[in-house]
Amino acid sequence: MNSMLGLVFAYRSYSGMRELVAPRTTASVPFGGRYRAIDFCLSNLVNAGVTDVGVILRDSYQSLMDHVGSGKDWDLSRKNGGLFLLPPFSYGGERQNTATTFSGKLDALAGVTSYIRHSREEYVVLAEGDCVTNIRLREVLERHIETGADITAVCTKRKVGEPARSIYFRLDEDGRVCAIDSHPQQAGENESLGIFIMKKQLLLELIQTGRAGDMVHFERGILRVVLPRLRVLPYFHEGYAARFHNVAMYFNNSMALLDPAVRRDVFSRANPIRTRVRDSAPTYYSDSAVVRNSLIADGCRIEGHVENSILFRNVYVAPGATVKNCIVMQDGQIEKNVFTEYIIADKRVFIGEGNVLMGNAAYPVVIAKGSRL
Amino acid sequence: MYGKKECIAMLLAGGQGSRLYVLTRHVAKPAVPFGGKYRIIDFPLSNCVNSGIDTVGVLTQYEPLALHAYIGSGQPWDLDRASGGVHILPPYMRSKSGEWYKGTANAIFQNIPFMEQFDPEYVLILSGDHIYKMDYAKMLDAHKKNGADCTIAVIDVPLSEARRFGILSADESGRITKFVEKPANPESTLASMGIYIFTWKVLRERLIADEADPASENDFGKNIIPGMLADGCRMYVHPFEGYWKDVGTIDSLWEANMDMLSPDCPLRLNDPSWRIYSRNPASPPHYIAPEGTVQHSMISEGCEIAGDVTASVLFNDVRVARGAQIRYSILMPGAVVEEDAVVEFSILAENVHVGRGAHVGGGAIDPLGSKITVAAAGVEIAAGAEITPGAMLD
Repeated sequence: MNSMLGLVFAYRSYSGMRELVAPRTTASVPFGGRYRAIDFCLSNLVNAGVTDVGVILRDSYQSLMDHVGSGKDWDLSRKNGGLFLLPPFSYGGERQNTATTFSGKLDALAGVTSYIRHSREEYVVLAEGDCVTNIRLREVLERHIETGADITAVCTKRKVGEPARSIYFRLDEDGRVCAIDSHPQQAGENESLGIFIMKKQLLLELIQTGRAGDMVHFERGILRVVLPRLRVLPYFHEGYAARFHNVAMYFNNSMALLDPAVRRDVFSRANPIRTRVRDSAPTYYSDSAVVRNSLIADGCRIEGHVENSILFRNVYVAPGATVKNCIVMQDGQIEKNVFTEYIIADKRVFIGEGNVLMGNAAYPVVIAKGSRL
Repeated sequence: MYGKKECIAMLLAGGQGSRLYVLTRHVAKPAVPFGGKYRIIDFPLSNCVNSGIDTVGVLTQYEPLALHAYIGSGQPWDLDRASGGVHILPPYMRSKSGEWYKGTANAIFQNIPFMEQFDPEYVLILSGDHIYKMDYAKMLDAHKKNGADCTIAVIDVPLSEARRFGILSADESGRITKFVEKPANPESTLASMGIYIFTWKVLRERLIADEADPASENDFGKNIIPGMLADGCRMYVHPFEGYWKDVGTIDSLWEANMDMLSPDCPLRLNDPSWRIYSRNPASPPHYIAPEGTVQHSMISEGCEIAGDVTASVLFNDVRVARGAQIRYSILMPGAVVEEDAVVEFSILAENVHVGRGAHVGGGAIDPLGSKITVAAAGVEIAAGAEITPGAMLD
C-alpha cells in the first residue's frame, strides 16, 4: 500500500482572531464543542492510514503541544514513526547557521529536510492545521496516482477564507493549474485548502530549488515558479470547509455545526474526528434546564436557558442564566441571572451573577481565556 | 520479569450476572454499560489507578469477548505500563490438566504464578459488581497498621437488608469476631463489600490448603474467610462511608442509574479529584434540536435529541426523534427512538430500535410500583407496538 508522510503547518496566528489567538496558534483554537482545529487535519491523516505525521511549529506552541501530547489519542504514538513535533531549530540541514525562525511554508520545510528525507514513505501530503474539513485523503492519493500528476492540489468552489489571506488556482482548458492568485482583492474561483500531495523526492527537489532562489513561500514562491514545467492538478473537495481568519468567520463556522447536514459531513461515522480525551462525565440537565438548538459536550451542568449555542466540556450554566447565540469554551462558568448573547467565552471564563453581556452577530465579543467578570 | 510490587489487585470479572437476564446474554456483567458513558468495571479499575495500584489482574471466564476488547491495552485507565499494568487472566490448559475457574478462591489459586511475578506483600481482591469510589490506599494503610492477615471493607446497611449480605461482627479495635453469610437473624449491620486485602504469604498458604480440600467450594465468602476466622487469623474490618451499590439485578441497575441523576447523590461522576476513566467513543458533542427538551437527565456525546427526555440516562450516539418521549429510562449506546414513540421505565441495550409510535414499558414514579422493561442489544421494536411493563425482549 502506498503511504504518505503527513506534514502539518500549525504555526500561523491570524490577528483577526483577536483574543482567541493570544495564548495559542490558530491550529490550536478550540472548535466544535470538544475539538481543536488541528484535530480535523490529524484525524484526516490517520483515517487515510497515515502513521507518520510531522507538525511544524514556530511560536506560542505550548497549547498545541499540551493538546497533542504523544499523539496517542489519534493513535499516533508509535514505535515506528508516529507523531513528531517540529519546532524551529530542530535540525541543522538547509537552514543551518540561520539565527532567525522561518517566515514561509517553504522556509519551514527547509528546516526539516532531514526529517523528510529519512521518512520511509514514498509520498508526502502537506496540510494546514487551521483548516477544518473532513476529507478522505486516501481518495486524493488514489486520484493523484491515477492521473499521474506531479502535484495534486486540493481546492474548493466554496468561499472559505478572506480573499486577502487565501490562495486561488486558475485552471487552463485541460483542467491543469496554470496560475496562482495569492492574497488577491477579490476571491477567485478555486480556493486552495492548503492540501498538496506529491512524491517525497519531488518535495525535496522543490525545497532545494526554492532555497537556491532565496524563496521562502510555497504557493506564491516555488509552486508558481514550477507551474510551467510540472503538472499540477486540482482535486475538488465538496464538503464543508472552515478557516479562521477572523472572529466573525470563526463564529459563523462554529454556528454552521448546528445544521444537521453540516454535522453529518464533518463528523462522518466512517471518518471520525478524534481529540484529546478528558474523561468528563456525561452532561447533566436539571429540572430548570431549557435548551434549544445547541451543541453540548460532556461534563456540563445545565440549570439555565441555552439557545443556539455551543458549549464545550465542563461548562456550568446556573439557574436563571440565559446563554443565547454564544460559544462557551471548556470550564466556563455562567452564574445566576446572567444574560449573554453573541459572546465567545474562551477557556475558564467566569461570568459572575447578574452580568449582562451582549455582542452582535457581525461582531461577537470575545472574552479572553481565564477572565473573571 | 517484573519489578516487585507492594500491592497488586485481582479483579474477579468472570461472573455471568444471570440476574441481569438479557443484558448479560452476550457480555460479562462487568462490561454492562452504566451511568451514561461507563461500564461497571470502570469503577474498580479507576479506583485502583486513583489509589496508586498500577498492577491489576482481571480474571475473566463468562462471555469475555466484549470485556477483553473493552480493556484492551488498559490505556484509558493509564494501565498500559511497562512494569505492571492490566493483565487479562482467563482460565487456561496446563500440560497435565486444566479447568475452568471453580470458585472465587480457585480463580485466584490458579493465578498464583501470575501474582508471584510481582513478589507482592499484599493482594487486593475486587469484584466487578458494584458502583462506588473508594481509596484502597487508605484500606491498605489500615491493614498494615493493624498487622492484619486480612482486611474486609464493610458498609453499614439497614437491619432489614442485612440478611442479603455477608454480615461481620467486630470488636472495638475493628477486629472481626464473627462472619455469617446471609444470616436469618443478623447480629450486626456491617456488611462485607466483597473487597479484601490479604497479606500475600498468608493467603497463598490458605489457597493451597483450600484447593487440597475436596469438600471446599473454593469460595472466599464460604470457605477462605470463615476458615481463617476459625483459625484465629488477624482479620479486621475497614468501614466505608459513601455511595456503594450492587448493580446485579435489573431493578438495582436501573435504580443506580437514577441515583446518578440526583443532585444529592454522594457519588459525583464528574469529580476531577477522583475521575472515573472509560474508553471514549469518538463522537461529537450531543445536539438538542429546537423542538427537543431535556430535563433532569444525563446525556452523552453523539446524541441527537428532537423529542422530550425526562429523568433518563442516555449513553453516546442515542437518537430521539421528534415527538418521542423518554421517561425514567436508560438508553445504551446507539439506541434509536423514532417519532412519537414513548419509552418509560425501561432499559434499552445497545442499538435497540424503537419504531414510530411504539409504546415501551410504563409504570409509576414509586419504584415499588414500577416494573422495568428491558430490551436486549439490537432488538427491533416494531412501529406502533405496545410493550407491556416488565417485559424482557430478546
